[in-house]
Amino acid sequence: MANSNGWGDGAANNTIGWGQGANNTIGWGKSHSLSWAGLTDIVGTSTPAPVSDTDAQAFLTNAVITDTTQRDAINTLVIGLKADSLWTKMLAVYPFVGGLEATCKFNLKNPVDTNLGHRLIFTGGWTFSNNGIQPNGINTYANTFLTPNTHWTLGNSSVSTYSRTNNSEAGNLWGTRGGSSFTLLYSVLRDGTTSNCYHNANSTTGISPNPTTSAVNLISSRINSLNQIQGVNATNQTNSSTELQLSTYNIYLSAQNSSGTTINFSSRQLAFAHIGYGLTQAECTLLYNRIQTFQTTLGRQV
Amino acid sequence: MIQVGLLTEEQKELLIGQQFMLDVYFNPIQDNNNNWIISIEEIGQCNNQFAWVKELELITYEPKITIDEK
Repeated sequence: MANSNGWGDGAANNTIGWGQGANNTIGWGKSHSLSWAGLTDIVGTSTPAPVSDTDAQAFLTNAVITDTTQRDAINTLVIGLKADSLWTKMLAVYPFVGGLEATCKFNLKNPVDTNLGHRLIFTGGWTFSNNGIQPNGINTYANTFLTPNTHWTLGNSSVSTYSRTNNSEAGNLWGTRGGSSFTLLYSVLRDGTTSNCYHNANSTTGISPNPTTSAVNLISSRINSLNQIQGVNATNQTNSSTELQLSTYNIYLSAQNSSGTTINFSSRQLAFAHIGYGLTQAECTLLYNRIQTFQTTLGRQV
Repeated sequence: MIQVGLLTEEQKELLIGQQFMLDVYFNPIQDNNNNWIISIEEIGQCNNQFAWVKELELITYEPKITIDEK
């Protein structure tokens, strides 16, 4: 529309983002730097390029992980676990990336938001960061919805956690007990004093050599009912320990589910955990190497 | 010393099974004096209808001594 000077109005700021022209008394537009020209309502969305492994991509999609370093680390981890024939031995893998409850809860092996998918339910005062999940040692635990008696058989089970905290607490890194002490599954890791591990038995197996720090990756595994394999970082050993019975209660992380009562809360920050079928000593080493590469890529290795 | 929020029995009942943020649940526990308490993380992160926990009296945490009977 023409104005009093005979000049036409400039283009008004409009919904498609065209610039506003004339808006002063003589109908001239403001200088270019002050005009609306160049602003647009058309906003592009940035979708990260899919990673090569479809299982890794499914996790990244459901957990909404957009950081390139984290995406590449997850992809490399899954490819490595498959190359080492460990992937099929995993029931749950918790890589704890993304820095939020909504990202850390997902099971890499089956990244659906359900109890049956074994995504974690966090209870108590947790803190989440790009370094992992931080329990407070007072009232925190994570429910895996994995039950030894349901998901394992005698002589074929494994569990691990990657602790980033060195302290001397008696809190459990993982734990369950279903009534009888024969079903005990838990680990106590101390920094130089006695550390031990129960794996479906009521007799402890001391961790030897005793770690001088509790900031380690600890794996407990059974490939038969007579012995227990322990892996502390890349050091493995097999101890005589008769397996007796499987707990009917869900395995918790960072505490023990003692027949429905939560005890032995841990304050150690965790950067990885898994629950799966039995691993040999060689497989424990392979798993540790993959985990440590993963942590190093993310800059949170210990 | 670790501080925790002191709950009454009634407040404890209100919080059991409830979320203090999306998908994260309160966990009232008893300390060594049988006080019901929640952690300062739950208090600090609470962003819903239970924000009244931010007014709880803070006390020093005394963990309950548990004996894991074999």
